[in-house]
Amino acid sequence: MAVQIKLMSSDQAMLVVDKEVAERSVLIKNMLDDIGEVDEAIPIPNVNEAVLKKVIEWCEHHKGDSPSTNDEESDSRKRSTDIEEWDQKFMQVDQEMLFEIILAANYLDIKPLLDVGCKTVANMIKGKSPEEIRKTFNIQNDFTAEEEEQIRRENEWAEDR
Amino acid sequence: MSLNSSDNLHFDAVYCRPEYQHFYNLPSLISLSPPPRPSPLPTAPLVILFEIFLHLPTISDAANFSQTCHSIYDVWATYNSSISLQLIQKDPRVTYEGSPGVQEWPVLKFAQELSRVQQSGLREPEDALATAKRQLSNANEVRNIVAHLHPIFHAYRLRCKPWSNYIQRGRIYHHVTISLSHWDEQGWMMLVQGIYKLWIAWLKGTTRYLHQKASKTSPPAPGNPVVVATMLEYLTGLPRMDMEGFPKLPKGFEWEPVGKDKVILRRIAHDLVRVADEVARGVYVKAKEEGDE
Repeated sequence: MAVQIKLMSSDQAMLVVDKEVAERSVLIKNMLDDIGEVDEAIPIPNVNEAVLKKVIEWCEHHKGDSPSTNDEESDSRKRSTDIEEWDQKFMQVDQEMLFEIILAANYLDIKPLLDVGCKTVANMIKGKSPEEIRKTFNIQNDFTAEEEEQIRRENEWAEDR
Repeated sequence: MSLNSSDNLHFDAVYCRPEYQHFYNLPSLISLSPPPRPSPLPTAPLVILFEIFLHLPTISDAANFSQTCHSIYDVWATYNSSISLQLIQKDPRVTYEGSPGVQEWPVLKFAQELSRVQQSGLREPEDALATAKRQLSNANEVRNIVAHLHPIFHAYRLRCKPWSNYIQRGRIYHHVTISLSHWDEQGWMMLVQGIYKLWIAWLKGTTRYLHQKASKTSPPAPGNPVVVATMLEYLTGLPRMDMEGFPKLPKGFEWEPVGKDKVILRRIAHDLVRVADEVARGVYVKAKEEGDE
């Protein structure tokens, strides 16, 4: 039987997961390497139950994936804008949850999940004007008209021509 | 039942108070509904915003994203070099389409070189600067280069304006294309090589400066004065170059920057204009200070 460990979310919910699954998180893996096997639940203070469940769901699906070992792999992931079908469905959540997952992936040090999250956001930005991006993410435009014009001029070199 | 004017007054006095408005005033009702929650995106940690930039497919997407709010723009402004260099390399629109017979054009090669140099800790710009340093060994010489442009500020602007416009609007490509009939491959390569190396050196100075002092109130990166001077020399010297002096190109040889070359040249042109502006501003401030004294 697979070794299981307990995780305690920020809202004090206890989740039991296979060690192999939890070790997709470099943070948890390093922790387990340091402290060895423990009966007590490992506190995950920055992640609530709902988000932790989603992260575990992702880790369970990807438990067989080989862990990325070098920067080259990470670079190749960045170069591609493709997202696996399962991951696309997984990321079909509201924006609040999407950003919570990204923050959790960053905190728990799950690079591939962070990449999928950032790729999802990048795909939402792709091909949009600044105003359309603001609408998509409900971002408050805090530039003055002069600043906006100055930045537009600064970025002229990058515009599609 | 009808209301007389005093009733109306009473009605207005009582029911138009803010606490009653929501009973019958539709706009007030709308304003009572909770506003949409602000996005967590602008307040996301820097590392996440940086990652999002790196996952964008094109530089123009990154530029558009940077124009949405201050906090996102700050990430773009601080890490502009790293972000744009990564995006140049993966931009699907800039697949290299060199002319027949040309295996690899210099700008593309230099882009790869730049990436390599950056990864290896930016040692090469020092070498690239060696020649420039021999010619311009101290700050006085830097001033001498611009001193003959009198009256300093206006003359400088007048002199540089056509050239700034020229490169700012992407005409550098036109210029290159047109004059290619008088240039050989080597001449063009030398020109681009020089500009490119200076650009690398300037980027290095800028990046170091930004990393040290990144903040909203930071003044524009001054860059290395030697680099700025050398780039200025390029800016003022290029229009005087004897382009007719180069041997003619082989018959049928044509090249117009496309794809990756075009994006990189645009980036270089943008930086050159910024350098020119910074130098002009510096010269103006200095002249003003001396005048005040």
